[in-house]
Amino acid sequence: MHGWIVYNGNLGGKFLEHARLFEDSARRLGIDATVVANHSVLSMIAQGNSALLGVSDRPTPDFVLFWDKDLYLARALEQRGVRLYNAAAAIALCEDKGRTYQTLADHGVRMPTTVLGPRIDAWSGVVDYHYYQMVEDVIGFPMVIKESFGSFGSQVYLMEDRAAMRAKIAELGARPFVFQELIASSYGRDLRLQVVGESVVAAMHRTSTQDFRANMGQGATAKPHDPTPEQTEMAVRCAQILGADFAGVDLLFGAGGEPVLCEVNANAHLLNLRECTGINAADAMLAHIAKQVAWQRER
Amino acid sequence: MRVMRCWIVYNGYGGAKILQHAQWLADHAIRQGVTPHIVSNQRLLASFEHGRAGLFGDLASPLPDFVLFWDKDPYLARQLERLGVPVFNSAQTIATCDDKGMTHLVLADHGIPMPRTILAPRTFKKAGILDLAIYDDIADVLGYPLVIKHSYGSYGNQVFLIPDRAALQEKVLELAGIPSLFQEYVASSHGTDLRLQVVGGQVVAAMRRVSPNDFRANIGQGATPHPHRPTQEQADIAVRAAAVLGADYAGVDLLFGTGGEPILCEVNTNAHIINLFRCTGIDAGERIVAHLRERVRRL
Repeated sequence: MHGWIVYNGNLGGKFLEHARLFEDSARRLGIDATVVANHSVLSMIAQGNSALLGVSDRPTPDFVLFWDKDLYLARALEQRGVRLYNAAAAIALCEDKGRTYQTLADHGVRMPTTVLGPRIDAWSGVVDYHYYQMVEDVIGFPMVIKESFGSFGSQVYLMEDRAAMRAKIAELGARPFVFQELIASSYGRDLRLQVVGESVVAAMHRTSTQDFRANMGQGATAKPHDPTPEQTEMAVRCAQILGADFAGVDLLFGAGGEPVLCEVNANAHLLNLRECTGINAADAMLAHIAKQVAWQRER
Repeated sequence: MRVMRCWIVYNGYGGAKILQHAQWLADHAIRQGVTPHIVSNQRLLASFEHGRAGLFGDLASPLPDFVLFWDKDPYLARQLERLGVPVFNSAQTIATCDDKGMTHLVLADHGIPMPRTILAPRTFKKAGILDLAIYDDIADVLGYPLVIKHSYGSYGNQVFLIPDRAALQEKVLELAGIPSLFQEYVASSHGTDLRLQVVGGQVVAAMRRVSPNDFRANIGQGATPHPHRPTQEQADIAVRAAAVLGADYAGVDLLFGTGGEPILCEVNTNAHIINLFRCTGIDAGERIVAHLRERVRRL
């Protein structure tokens, strides 16, 4: 069994470290795996047909652990019949927070009240304040604005009033975003559950003393957490609906302590998780992939 | 039998030209016995309350028999579909055509001639682009001059002709975080192209566009249109492209190869049908409404 571990070559650093983590797990499981930078394989269309550039010396892999968000490459690999972990569609759905909520809606998943922001092609100055009044009516203040494409909590903003909200919208311009209810009972804390296949393999409770967000990138500290069956079930269910083989699912605490879905990360940070819990989720991920590939072959 | 109702959704941030198209289509709806309602995307809120998908706004009910979606707001289009309303073009089609890289990938392997295209590897603005070597590989495959296009661009904006290596290296650095593609320059089509308007699997009108001073033939870039009678080969490619993309209506742009043969350049879900009418005397709006009316009747 031969696989690729694709990571983003221009990000390097932590992302390459993760790729190495997967490579180590693969070696321990006896899986032959090669670390591949996304930009070393180019997706091309020539004579109307799709092709991959830069891989003539490489055999087609049995699987790709796709630890990147390069959706063109992901799609091009899938068009060549390669199974990706995660699949391109799951990566796309998780990367776009608006689409994450839209996909999870009507599946009995508790989530904060959310309004998807309108598409603004270019900030033409045509602003219908009636719209923002309606958003206020639905959500009220304080209000969270999240950019649809953001990581590490760095594009999540807490709006205390109308003036702040309108200034933020103008600042965001054509960038897509969502409006969301602040779950006050979860201020500065959340849960991260790492799902692999149909189980939660590790979890942590993150707490921030100085911010409403509990992201590690925003200075939160983490301690190991033993998830309740309700939390586990919600996390696994979200991953399944999104078609993710593995996902870092963030849950908030509702007023009664009940889990409320915050977001789902297709490529969750595993080094922090290992440091906190002592569990290397990469092992479980590679074992899951090996099982899936073997099962595909039998069919 | 009750009267059929439709919404014509347009982008409220888009200015007068977009609204003019919505009114143009609404006039046709009235003439064909369909009651239209022109709705700005700023008047509809795609919301989630208690984990359920909903639609908010003073125009949000009752829902129409179908939506003529003259916008690219992907959240709103998907939300309407979630609520069970037929949306034309579909959210999936709109999203694919909005992304030029994805358009080429989806059209690949369907016997549609396209310029040789390489999709830019995913990069991030914050991290920038560290590895420039691969762009030389790309230039080796495509040759100079080559074309760089942002995947999300309209009216010929964000399309660049790159004459040499220096220009390439400079432009590439600006591309960090911007989905884009690299394309062979089709010299035989310099400053001229064809726009074929497809509706319901047929080409209903076409024009040839000629620019006096630019390699692009967009009217927004100063090109002049002339009525055109498409060859069978041109019509076949346009119709096939629209079919592969699942577009009920689309403006398909074709370039001229060295032997005059058609090469697909791009596909626009919401093509400028008023310009097309002024040039050809053919009103694609009338055909679009007639097609959708029949299609919905048969649902």
